[in-house]
Order: sequence, then C-alpha cells, then structure tokens
Amino acid sequence: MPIKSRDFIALFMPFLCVFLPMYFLYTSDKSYYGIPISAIWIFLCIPLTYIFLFIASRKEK
Amino acid sequence: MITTFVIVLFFAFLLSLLARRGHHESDPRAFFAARGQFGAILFFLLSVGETYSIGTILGFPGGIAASHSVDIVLWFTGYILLAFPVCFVVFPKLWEAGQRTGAITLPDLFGAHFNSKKLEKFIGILLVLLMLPMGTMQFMGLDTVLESLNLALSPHTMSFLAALLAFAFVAIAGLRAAALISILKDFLVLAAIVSVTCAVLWNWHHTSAPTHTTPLLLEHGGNHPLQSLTMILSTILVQAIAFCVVPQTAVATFSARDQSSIRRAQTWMPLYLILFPCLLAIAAYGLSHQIHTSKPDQLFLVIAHTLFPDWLCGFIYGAAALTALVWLGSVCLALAAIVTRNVIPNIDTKHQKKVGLAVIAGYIFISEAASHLQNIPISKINNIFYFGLIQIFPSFLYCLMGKKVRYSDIVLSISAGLILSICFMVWNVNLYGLNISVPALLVNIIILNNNFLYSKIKMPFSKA
Repeated sequence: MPIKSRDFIALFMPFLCVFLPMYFLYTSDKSYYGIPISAIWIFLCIPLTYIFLFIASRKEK
Repeated sequence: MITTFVIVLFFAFLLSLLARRGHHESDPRAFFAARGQFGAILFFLLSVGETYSIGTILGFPGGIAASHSVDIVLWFTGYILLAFPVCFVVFPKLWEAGQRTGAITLPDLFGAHFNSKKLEKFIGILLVLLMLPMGTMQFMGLDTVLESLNLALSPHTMSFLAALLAFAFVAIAGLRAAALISILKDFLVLAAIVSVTCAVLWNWHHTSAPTHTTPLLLEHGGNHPLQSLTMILSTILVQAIAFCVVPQTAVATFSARDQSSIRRAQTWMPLYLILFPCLLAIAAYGLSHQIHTSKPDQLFLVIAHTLFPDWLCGFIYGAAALTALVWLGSVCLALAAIVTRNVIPNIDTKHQKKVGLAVIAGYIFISEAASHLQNIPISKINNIFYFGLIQIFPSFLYCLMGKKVRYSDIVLSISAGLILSICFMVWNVNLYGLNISVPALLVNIIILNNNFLYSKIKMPFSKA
C-alpha cells in the first residue's frame, strides 16, 4: 500500500498542523476573552484541514 | 414545550416512513446495511450524523463546565477533526476490500480475508461488547433530555419511554431511513446550536455583570502541563485512528456507491466542526455566569431554557433527542447485521430481520439499564469505547494491505492489548499522561508481527 502524494497531503499535513505548534501554544499564557490560544488554534485547524483535503481530492482528478 | 418536542419526533417518524417507499426492506441486507445505495450526499449525512452524537452536543459543553479546563476542547475537537483525514485515506481502501470480499460488516471482512469463521465470530462478539458503552452514552443523553422536559412521570417510566422511542425508530427505519432522518436532525442541531450561541453572545453583556472574576475561563492542565499535553496528543492520535474502525461507520462505507463518493464526502466533513467553537462559547457562558445544573451534561439544555421561551426549547430538546436516536439507529442496525451474519450465521434469510430486531431490543434494554448504574460523565464513556476499538486497528490494517497472518495471532494480539488496557484502567496506572491504549497497542503490534520479528532476529544468528 504505497503512500501517494494525495494521501500525504490529506493525512500528514493536518496532523502536522495540530501536533507541531501544540507544545508552544499549550504552554503559552496568551488568551482571548478568557479562551487559551491553544483552543483558538485547534479551531483554526478546522478550515486548514478542509483545505488540505480539498487539495488532496483535486489531486485525485 | 412538549408540543414542539413531539412535532419534531413526529416529522422524523414521517421521514422514516418515506424512506421505506420503493425499497425492499424485507431484504435484511437492504434493511441493515443498504449496500451500495449511498451516493456522496447520503454517505456524508450518515457519517456526519455519527460524528455529532449526543456526546458532542451535551457531553462536550458539559465536560468543559465540569473540568474548567481547555484540555477537553483540545482532545475532543482534535480527535474528531483528525479522524476525517484518516478516514479520507482509509475508507476508500476499506470500500475496495469490501468489494473484494463481499463484506457488509467488519467481521465479514476479517472472516473473508483471513479465511476464518472463528475470527469472524470473535470480532463480531468483541464489537457487540464494545458498542454497549456507546449505547449507554446515548441513553444517558436521552434521559437527560427527557428529564429536562419536566414531565410528570417517574424516572423509570421516562427511561421506558426513551427505550421504546429508540426501538420504534430503528424497527421502522432501516439504514436508509437513518440517513434521511439525519437531514432533519442536522438541520435542527445546526439551528439549535447557532441560535443558542447567538442568544448567549447577545446576553453576555446585556444581563447582570458576570460574577466569575478570573480572566482565564479555561485553565491548562494543572501542575503538570507536560503530562496533560502528552495525554491530549496521545488521546487525539489513538481516537482519530480508532474512529475508522467504528462498526457503523464501516457499514456506511460498504454502503457507499464508489471510492470518489467517500472522498468527496470526507472532504467536506471538517467544515461541519464549525459548531465546536459555538459549543465552547455556550460552555464559557455557563462558566462565567455560573449557571447551575444538577448534572454537568445538562448545561446546554439549561442555558437554552434560561434564554428561550418554552416552545422554542421544545425544538432544541427535540434536536438533542434526535441526535441520540439517529446514532442509536445506525449502531443498532450495524449490530443486528453483525449478530445475524457473523455471530449466529446460520439463520435463514426469512428470519434474519426478526432475529436482528430481537438483538436490537436486547441491546437497547441493556444499554438503558446500564445508563442508570453509575453517574459517569458522557465524555469519559467516549474514552472507554476507544480504548477497546483501537486494539482492532493493527489487524484491520492487515486486511486493507492484503497481508495474511494466522487467526490465532490476531486473537492473541487483540486480547493482549485489551487485557493490558483494562489492567491499566482498573489499577489507574500513571503513565505520565500517556493514553493507556498506546503501550497496549505496542504489545498488540509486537504479537501480531511475531513471525516477522522472529525472522529478523534469527537472520543474523543463522548467517553467523
């Protein structure tokens, strides 16, 4: 089961987005309206994941 | 309130009748699994419907309010979000494996791929056992909704009503109807969450000044941030991967028309999580305005009741009840398919549907009874479910990769992983935040690959 570039974009990029900055965000004291920045980042990952999946599905075509 | 609540359920009932038209529901394959009938839209609705279970709508804000911590926001959102990329890659291959083996359930796939009826039964029984906590979770939510209606009925009558309601939906519906009712449910859930969020934001400054003076509404994981972070990341990883082994999602995948329908549906699914920030806003309002509830899981419903007139609350409560019913519907149908096809395989086609419905009734009864045993938060039950499910993943991957191993190795590896997870959980072993499934999964993988590892170890010695 070789990993295609489509699968790489779809699978690894969203994981990197969530996992890579999490240490810095989680240990940061910054917050907006009482909500820690780590929570805001995870919500920003929602449209980012969609974009990666969209690009991956285009690659299929 | 009760009138609008009943109207919602009545519409759902009408939709389930509509779904029966033009399809041969007497055929158990069509009734339980709707094989090959779902294009991208129906597949999307059914799969997303399962993402938004009662655990999300009640458990997520309830968990935030109970823990006052951002941790649940991170792992809960993180694992569902990352489950979509995993499913984007895995599901088309699962569909392909289903076509190759003619499987409509996960145990079918295991049985056909490893050519073992014993393994098929083992996986079937295991999945039935693992699905019990999830049924319990739906009933805890359904009971919470019915309690909030303030009907003049005893808790036992209420539970009986919830169980009857769930059975009626499943018995009438079939998988096609579950997908159709998802349309109504999703529309109502979206409307309910968005309207409660708008009301919360409007009321935030227009009501009396917040009594909670701490500037940070949600705390990071206490004195050991590194342990908490390890817990969050390992939980996200384990649960996002285990998500693709959920039995009813696998049934929905086998029901898809083709691989591109699956990929198209998966592409859009992350956007559906746009409701999660809204649920966080609702929980934050509850924390800052110190909304009191008898159970944390009631927070969403109590806030809706504080901000809206009774008749509008009926719609919101109806939406919450439908999330539980749709989820129960697809779980029950997947379980019935597993029991009638894999666990007790020699039932003739005429009796398969009757036996399936008896299984569903039994599952509903046990789940409902278990929901009264202990007052565990909904979000905790969600974790227990995935502890078990992830142990099936390594051998599931073997099915997709077309690799063969002895069935005894699979049974041994899954059992070892499960026993180790249960021991860690029962003895409350501190793994410095690491999800207890991770070491259990490593043991599972080592046992599954014992022949390969043995040959690798043996090779240098034989050369010498």
